Amino acid sequence: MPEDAILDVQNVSKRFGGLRAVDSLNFSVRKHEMLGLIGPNGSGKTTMMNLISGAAKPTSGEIFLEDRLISGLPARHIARAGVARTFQLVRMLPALSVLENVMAGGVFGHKRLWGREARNYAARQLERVGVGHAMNTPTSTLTYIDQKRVELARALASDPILILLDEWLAGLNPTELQTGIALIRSLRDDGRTVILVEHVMDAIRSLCDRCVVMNSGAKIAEGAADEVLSDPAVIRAYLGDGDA
Amino acid sequence: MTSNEMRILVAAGAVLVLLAFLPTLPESAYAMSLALPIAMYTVLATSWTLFSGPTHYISLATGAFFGVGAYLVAACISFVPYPLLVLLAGLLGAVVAALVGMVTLRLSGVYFVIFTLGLAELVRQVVTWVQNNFTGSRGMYVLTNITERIIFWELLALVALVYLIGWLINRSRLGFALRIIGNDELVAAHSGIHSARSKVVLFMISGAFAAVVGAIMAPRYTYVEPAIAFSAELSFQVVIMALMGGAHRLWGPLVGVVPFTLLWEAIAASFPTQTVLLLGIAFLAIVYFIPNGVVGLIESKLGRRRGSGAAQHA
Repeated sequence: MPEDAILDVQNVSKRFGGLRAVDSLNFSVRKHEMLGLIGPNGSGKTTMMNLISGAAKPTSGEIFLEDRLISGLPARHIARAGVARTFQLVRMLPALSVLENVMAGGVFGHKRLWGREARNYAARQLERVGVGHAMNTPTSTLTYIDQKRVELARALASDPILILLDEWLAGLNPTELQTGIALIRSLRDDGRTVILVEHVMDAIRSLCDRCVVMNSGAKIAEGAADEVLSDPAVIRAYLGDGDA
Repeated sequence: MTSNEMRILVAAGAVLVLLAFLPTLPESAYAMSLALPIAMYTVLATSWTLFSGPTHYISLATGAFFGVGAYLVAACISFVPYPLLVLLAGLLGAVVAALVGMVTLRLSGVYFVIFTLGLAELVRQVVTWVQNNFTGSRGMYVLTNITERIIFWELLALVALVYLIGWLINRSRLGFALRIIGNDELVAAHSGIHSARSKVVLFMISGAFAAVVGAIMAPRYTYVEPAIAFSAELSFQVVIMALMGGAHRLWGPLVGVVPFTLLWEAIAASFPTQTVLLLGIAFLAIVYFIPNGVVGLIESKLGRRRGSGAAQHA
């Protein structure tokens, strides 16, 4: 485990019946690092994210957040310990205002603010992601990218140690994609520690300090984005034998 | 507290104080016969809304909690002071709610509804069995010198308390947590909310109120037996009144309780067997025409329907 590691995944496996969705995975994330977790569909990326955030428990292996063992804890404890996430399919709280959607992260998560402080802090995060103008509107009036921004602001509102972005850029049109990439890059400039699961190759190349490539639940490559994306094993995993 | 909230508080207090003089008016017997059930259902429907409003879990357990309170009084009135019994009823209601909550609140949707419906029947059968086998008589007399007037005042005080507690919950982290849970439990868990505990706590508060109402009403019945105390009809009435008024506002149920109780009493007076029909029609009306209650209807007409009132103050 590197000295400045925020997250350390050791020998983690997850089985669903006979299927090994995640198979003896090892990797760690350093402070201020943006790590890409990539791989073809069904390779176990989202399962791995769920294991870190506590949505599912690993069958074996350990996950540490800083010095704390978090694998096996319920999601609420992991959230309070400092892991915040967004969801592959955006999840708004429709009966709450945009500001309240963001406050949800700040009130109960790692930061645990309340009252005016919680409101102000949530408002700052909304400004930060660029939806400050829509603070008191219902979430149903937001565009898709703005809903994604609100979800990101909710994650930021808990001032987490680690942020998990599960295909945050998926479903955006080309213009929105540029805006989205710039927003994620600005998180990196803030010194946030992020794991992102992503399919958009441009985003991976321009954002990730390092990538872990998964296939059929196992790690097949690890290293700088350009390096792993030209690795024959990775190309084979994505495109099949003929193109490698 | 904002000046607006202050004004509402003062106005509500003034109304309650005025209502407290109702029993002292001459010829008030008929008015009391309507005011008493209105006060009772206001407490029951509002406390039901405390839990079911934000979580959207439809509880049909009101009758069970009410019966537990009424039965506690009936069983112990001869050797325990009445005020203490009222407090104990609240405690017992909370304990029963905690037990039921811990078992069932992991169930969702229709499973929870069915279980709570069965609960009143279960408790009733247990009580009947115990009485048949060990006490010899099925019913019990509750003989006190507590008059209808005192019962009315007790209920008014309880109305004040349920609104006060509801208002405090809406301003608290617990209230905010419940609204998030009602929207999306997965997001709640990943935001750091202990959703099972939050739900159980609210369910306990709600159950305690219903049990206290049962304890307060017991002296009025004079004779308490399982069929009266544990009534499924009561549970349905409470749900329908609360939904009819609007379960997304603290004061919503009141808007349903007043007209529904008046209508209920009118029908019961002329066509005693047709009250169930009213329940059915009211239920259909809610489902088809006013899913957000009368309050929701008014608010959408005024075009300012937003999240719950707590939204702005959280």
